[in-house]
Amino acid sequence: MDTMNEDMRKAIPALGFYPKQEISTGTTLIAMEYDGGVVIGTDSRTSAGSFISSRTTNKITPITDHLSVCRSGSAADTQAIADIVKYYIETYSLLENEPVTIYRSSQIFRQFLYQYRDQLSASVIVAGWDAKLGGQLYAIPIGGFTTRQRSTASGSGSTYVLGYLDKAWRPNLTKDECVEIVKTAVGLAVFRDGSSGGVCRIGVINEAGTSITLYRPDKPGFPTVTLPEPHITYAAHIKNQ
Amino acid sequence: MAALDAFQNGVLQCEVEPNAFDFSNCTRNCALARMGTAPPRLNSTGTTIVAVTYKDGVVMGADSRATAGNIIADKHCEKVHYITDSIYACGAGTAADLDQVTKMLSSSLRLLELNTGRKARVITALRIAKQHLFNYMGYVGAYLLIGGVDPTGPYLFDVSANGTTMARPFAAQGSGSYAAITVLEKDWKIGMTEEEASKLVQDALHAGMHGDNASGNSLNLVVITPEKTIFRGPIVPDFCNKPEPIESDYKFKSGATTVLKKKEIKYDIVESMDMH
Repeated sequence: MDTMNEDMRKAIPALGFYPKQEISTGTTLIAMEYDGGVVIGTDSRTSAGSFISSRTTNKITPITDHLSVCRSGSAADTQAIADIVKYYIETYSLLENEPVTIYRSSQIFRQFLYQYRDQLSASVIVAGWDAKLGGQLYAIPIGGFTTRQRSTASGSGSTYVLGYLDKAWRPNLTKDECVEIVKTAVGLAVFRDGSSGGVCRIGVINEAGTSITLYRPDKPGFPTVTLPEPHITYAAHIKNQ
Repeated sequence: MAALDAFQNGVLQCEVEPNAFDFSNCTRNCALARMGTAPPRLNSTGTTIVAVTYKDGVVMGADSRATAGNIIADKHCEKVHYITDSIYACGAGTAADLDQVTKMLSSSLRLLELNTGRKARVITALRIAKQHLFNYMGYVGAYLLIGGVDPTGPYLFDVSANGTTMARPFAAQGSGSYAAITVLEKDWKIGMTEEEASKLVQDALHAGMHGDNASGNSLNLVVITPEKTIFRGPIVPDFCNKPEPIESDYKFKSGATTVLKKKEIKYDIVESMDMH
């Protein structure tokens, strides 16, 4: 995830000039649906240019016990949107005395993200479980286009694992198979993408609720990638020492 | 989102709500710049601010230098702002914005305490700050470290001008934060005592004051625990009083380089500019 570079914001609204700077969503977000729920996986790096401003960011924001949103893009924008939408969802569920469906929650997100699309830089994955439709994933990239997906990836690290996810997905996955696929995908993306790193967070949302597991790189369980032994050619005077 | 709506609808200056920014002078400034007028120099508080949570509470510290270009405008500028008796905010960024935002936070929290009859919470200060700063889209240049102890425990939060917030065990902000954060990353550990935490904050500030020319002069500390808040300052480290001795010599000793070849070239003086 990138924090916006304020130095580039030299907008002159009086002239109607509002520069569209290049927006990088340095992050890795992977999500996959299985029979009975959804599995989400993220890295934990927030970078401001080449400086890592946070190495332990939590990009999974819980909205309710059965709904979480994975955030990428401008941290300020996504945090503010998540707070506002959480408020709306809580208010509706109190007024109507029943939980808000995941579909409706994704539509509330979409309405904000689309209406303020010119001022915001936010790309989210809405993931949750409800009794009506079971586990659901809604991908909302920048601009506000919302679709339900079975398997989705977002952020700069996602491009490196799209092929892996395409190959690995098949219908009727179990929860453990799904966790393994998502965890491996995060590990592969982090290995290749400079804007992704830190710890790996895996969340499982199903009827029982949400459970998040943290995998640290220095502890077992982290999705490591076996590094091939490099070929190194030494100069003759070093090799013969 | 009053500020955003105003821009979206392109309303007239007189119709803009009082809490939105008016950018109409920007066209005038562009015209002046094109005519050759130099833009005014901004006062920057190049800063090192550091905060650390430890077993019982929070230790926060800041340097005290305010610069205007290459000149030190203020040697003893107060960067540790009072919010409530047990909540303080260290600020980096635009000095005027920091003063106003922290005064606003302090008064909002005091009113809340009087209205609810409860001690204000750090998370409340965070919410108010975040929602205020997000509304101004980053134009209010306030980068805060809000720390304190409330009935639910000790907290430290990092707030950026654009409204991003993060809960942290230790944090550094400002131009000297790159140097300070390395010290914190190396030496912070869980369950430190107050002396260790205080020393860590001072070491991190020293690193920032050494490595950043916009930070220095002296430092201020505040230690916040559930029982009491102690403000310590200004503390002037030794290297701020007198410069540290230069141990290495930058001159080469004669004979250090072997002369391989010598070539003499004779020049004729055509014209000399001797001033008598």
